[in-house]
Amino acid sequence: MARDYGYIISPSLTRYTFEPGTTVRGKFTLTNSFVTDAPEAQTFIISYRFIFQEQGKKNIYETTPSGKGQYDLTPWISLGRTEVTLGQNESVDIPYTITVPSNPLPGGKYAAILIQKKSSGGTLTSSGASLDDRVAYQIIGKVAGTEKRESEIVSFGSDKSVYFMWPNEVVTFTISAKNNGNVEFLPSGDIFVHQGAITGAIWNENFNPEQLVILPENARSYSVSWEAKKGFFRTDKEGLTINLDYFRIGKYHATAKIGYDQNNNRVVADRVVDFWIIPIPLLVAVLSLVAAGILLSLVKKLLTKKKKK
Amino acid sequence: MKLPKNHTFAKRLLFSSIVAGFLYYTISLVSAAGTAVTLTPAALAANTGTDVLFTYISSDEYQMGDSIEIVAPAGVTVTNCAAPTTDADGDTTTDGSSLVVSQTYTYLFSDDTTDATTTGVSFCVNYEAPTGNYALTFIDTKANSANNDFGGALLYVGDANVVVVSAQVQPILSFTIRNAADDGNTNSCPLGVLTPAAVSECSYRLKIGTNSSSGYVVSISSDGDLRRSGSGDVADSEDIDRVTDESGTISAGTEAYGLALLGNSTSTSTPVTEGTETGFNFSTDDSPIPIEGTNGTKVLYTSTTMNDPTTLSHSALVTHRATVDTGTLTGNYQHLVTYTVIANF
Repeated sequence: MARDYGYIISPSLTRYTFEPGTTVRGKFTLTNSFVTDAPEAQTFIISYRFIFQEQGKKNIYETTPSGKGQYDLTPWISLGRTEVTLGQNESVDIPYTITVPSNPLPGGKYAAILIQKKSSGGTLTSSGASLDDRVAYQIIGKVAGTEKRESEIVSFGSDKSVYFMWPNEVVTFTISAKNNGNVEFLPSGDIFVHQGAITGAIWNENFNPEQLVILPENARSYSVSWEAKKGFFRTDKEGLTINLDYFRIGKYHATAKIGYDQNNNRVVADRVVDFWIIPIPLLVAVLSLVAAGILLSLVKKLLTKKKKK
Repeated sequence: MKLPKNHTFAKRLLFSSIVAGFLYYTISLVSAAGTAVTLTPAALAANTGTDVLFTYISSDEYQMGDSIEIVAPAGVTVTNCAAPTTDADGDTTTDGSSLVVSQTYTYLFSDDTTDATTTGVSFCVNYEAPTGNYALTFIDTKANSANNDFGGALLYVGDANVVVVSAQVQPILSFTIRNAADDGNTNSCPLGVLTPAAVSECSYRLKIGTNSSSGYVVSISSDGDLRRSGSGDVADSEDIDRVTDESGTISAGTEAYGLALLGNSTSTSTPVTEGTETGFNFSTDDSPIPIEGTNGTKVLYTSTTMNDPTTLSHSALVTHRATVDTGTLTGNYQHLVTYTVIANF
């Protein structure tokens, strides 16, 4: 029996640049993969909603919130069909049309086409909850020539200024950015950890590998963590070497090279945060070693004296 | 070295020196760094000698007497370029000269560089090889060994006599609600008979699949309170009170209703982040269910990785819990909960 995936839509997202006064025709594929259900055929209801972000979190709206109308794509959408019945593992294209006005409001436009099983909301004979499941296909667009790309890096920092338990501790860096423009903003870049020269970085990581965007009038935070590589010994080009992450100590700098939008241009800014690694476990181990050495020599000295007596 | 038998101070000094020396050595190595290498071009025609620029940014400027070695694997013929590199850092002055012995290209610096740490250094090497992928590696030797660099890159050779097979995989999103045992789909969560003596509960799993590395977002809303059938939820007496957010787990005898999310515990390889919107901090304790007309749709949880829905551990377990008190009116209490899955971006 085929695996039961439920609804499958493909693609899950399409991006457009709209020319005023034009008509855009698009489609996506819906597959009925409810293979363990009876009856085998399923009827799906198709509708659409406005989607946007609130404090960087995506939301689907029954009605467009006040002040967000300029980003609402739904008034331009019409569906080729609002209901479709599919047998198990059958697929169908869901067509839609976007009619762009000749004088549209500028900036980004956002909507989702929702697919929902008609038989959802199971029947209950006792107290309980009926469940509806919906899957959303997203349309992300912008009106050509009206983009205002403007953003700012609000902050860059580490979760602590001193890390006492390294290497059993994780250093977490967070970048907060804000979109002041009218189209989505994609912050990008890397964080480098070094002790003076970025070219001698001992670690670097992309802080937004998922390419998560910030919609207009929103802010979002991105976190990435640096942790010690595991294993005291490592094998690399040099052969078997000691994992130096176990011996990190002193003052470190984290430099974030952040790409963001300013005056419709992409610019790169450096933000730096300093932090200390004072690894108490390592220091205790070294001091214990030294103390043990001294103690051993003292004991030997005493034994030698006793023998002489 | 043999120490006198009673020379304990010397022994201590020797021991401390060894420890200190070990520490100094390890700390001095901290600055050594793996370096990103760029090959231009990175792809060559098979069995055709081609000049390749081997470029990287150095940790430190090179000084007279420093050197670098670029090593190619067996099967690759290495020669110097017709115009061998003399100006390594591109500042229009001669920095040194190169020689090739077997698979190894060596560049010896006869003068200090000025731009090795900014624009980087480039070395021209001619490579010829049959079809295959070859790892080129380099290591340098600087006066200050703490700033030595190493790195590598793949050289792709040969694409003329191959058949190109191409395919496109589009981002996919799938969703189904499964029963707790994951052996069937479900669209209901029956709480059974509610009594003040116990907390009734029912569970199911949200199974989302995506091949998108940006993951997905699961939102939740409902059509109203858990309410007496036919009541229309016009009065508080007609519903089971929603649990207060962050007030812990529902306990028997005090009318309350909510849901708990076990998103993380059941998906260790696909981490999820529970929604934390004000009043709806979904987690393993009981949280209220948002009502569409009053609260709108709330984020239940977010995943920022792709997810394989065929594995039970890659699903989120949702548990509804309810209890009543002696003042709760008799009847069947029901409502409709809607989950919407959308790709993350």
